[in-house]
Amino acid sequence: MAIFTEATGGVAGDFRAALVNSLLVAACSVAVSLVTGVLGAYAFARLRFRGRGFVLFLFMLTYMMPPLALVVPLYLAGAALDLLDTRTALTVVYCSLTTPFVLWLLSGYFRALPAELEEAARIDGCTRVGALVRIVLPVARPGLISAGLLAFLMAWDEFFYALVFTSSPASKTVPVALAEFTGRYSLDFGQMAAGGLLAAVPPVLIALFFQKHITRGLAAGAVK
Amino acid sequence: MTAQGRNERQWPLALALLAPSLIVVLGVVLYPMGRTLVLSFLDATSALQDAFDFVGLDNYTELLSDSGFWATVRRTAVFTVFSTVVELGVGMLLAQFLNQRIRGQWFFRSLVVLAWALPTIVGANMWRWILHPEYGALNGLLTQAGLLDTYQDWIGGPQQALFVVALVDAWKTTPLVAILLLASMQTIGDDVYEAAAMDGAGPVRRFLSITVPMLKPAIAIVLVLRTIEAFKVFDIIYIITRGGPDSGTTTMAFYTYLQAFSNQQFSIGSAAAYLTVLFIFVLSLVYLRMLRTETKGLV
Repeated sequence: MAIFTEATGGVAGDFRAALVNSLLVAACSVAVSLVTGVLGAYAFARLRFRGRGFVLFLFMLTYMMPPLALVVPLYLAGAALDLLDTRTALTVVYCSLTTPFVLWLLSGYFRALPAELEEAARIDGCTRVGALVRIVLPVARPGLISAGLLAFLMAWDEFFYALVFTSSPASKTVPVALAEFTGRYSLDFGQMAAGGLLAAVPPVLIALFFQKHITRGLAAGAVK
Repeated sequence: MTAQGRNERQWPLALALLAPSLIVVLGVVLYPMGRTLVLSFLDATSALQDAFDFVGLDNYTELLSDSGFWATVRRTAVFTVFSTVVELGVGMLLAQFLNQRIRGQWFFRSLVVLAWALPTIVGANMWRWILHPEYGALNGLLTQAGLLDTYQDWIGGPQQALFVVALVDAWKTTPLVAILLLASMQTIGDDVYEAAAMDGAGPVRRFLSITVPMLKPAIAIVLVLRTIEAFKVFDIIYIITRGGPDSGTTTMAFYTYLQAFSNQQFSIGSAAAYLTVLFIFVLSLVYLRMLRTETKGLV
């Protein structure tokens, strides 16, 4: 039980800090990617414009890029901007993972919604953006929930960038803290089990309570 | 209003709506992409330096003539093929099971979603403990059941270890594959199966002649996604074997990481990363080709 009670500074205190870091980083990147993703997805779903195919291709490409092809310049840029080992840097990097995903998922979702509702609203004098906020978003709530939850899980699970970018309790996330329990020379099963359990609680709760949203979102994200 | 006129009108709004996500993607993906490409033509061995020598394709030729690099490519291929085949095979059977009308089905479906949601690092740590040569649960279980005489080091040999980490990767993603295939299975109407049953087709025959062909587009998508992901696998290998023993589990992602961050060979790492991107790109094109012909065949 030391993980709950021990004062800050020890392994347990560091792990609690990691939980807070993970929560903050994941929540912030979800918030950013939901806002940017909704706007972008709406443009893809409803507007016809030149270069649409090319921009779509850019987002596809982002998904295909392995993080290891991006990590060195990001690391050097982080060092130059003095942002290494901060939650800010990690949040920005995670947005690059979650934004294309949210945009992709939601553009399929928006396209499946009937356009008549918005058209009626626009005839009544609503602007495009007004129609998006007042008409589309309330109807698209299940899609927004799926996209947000999946993006959260994505950020919560991320390990590679976190390992490279974080080095102290100031920004270390849960996966990095867990990886440290299985250091090269020591293997503390008690801590590992307790830490693993705590790390698993948020995603498992999400999966239990939002099972329908999760499975639908996964299927839609893969097919569209 | 002509279509052209509408295009002109919608362009500013589209740009405004897309600007925020484009800034994120341009800044955090496309800029580093370009920088990595430039780095791969330089001789960058230290983060502290400002200017590096231009060496052209030297980093690429060095890698491509290095037998160690090709061994890494081979291991990545083995890892990818093995884990994808297991995921697809087991995922297919699991989806078929979850699609049956039996009592308490929600329980099994929830179980699969829960297994999917378990963080990768937690799963990998768990497997590290299960496979531990001295205190591992697997050794304990097998010896007590009388199936094993002495304790085994499951990840002691390089080749054995590669298959073990590929299996752990398959374990991690099979639930996802099953969820995706199940979603597709649920769109097949009961009438097709009933008609086949009436014609005397048994369960196995129905599975092979109806389910599998109908799922081909979904299978193709899973193949593309899983191959791309398998090339990126890092966390499981980092936790369970750290690329060892004897580099046996150093796949391309891990190799790139070691070059860039352990050996400080940023340029070699960048070149290796770009070769990985090339492999992923070619494979995706092949799959997408396959996918297109498949869907055409269906429509």
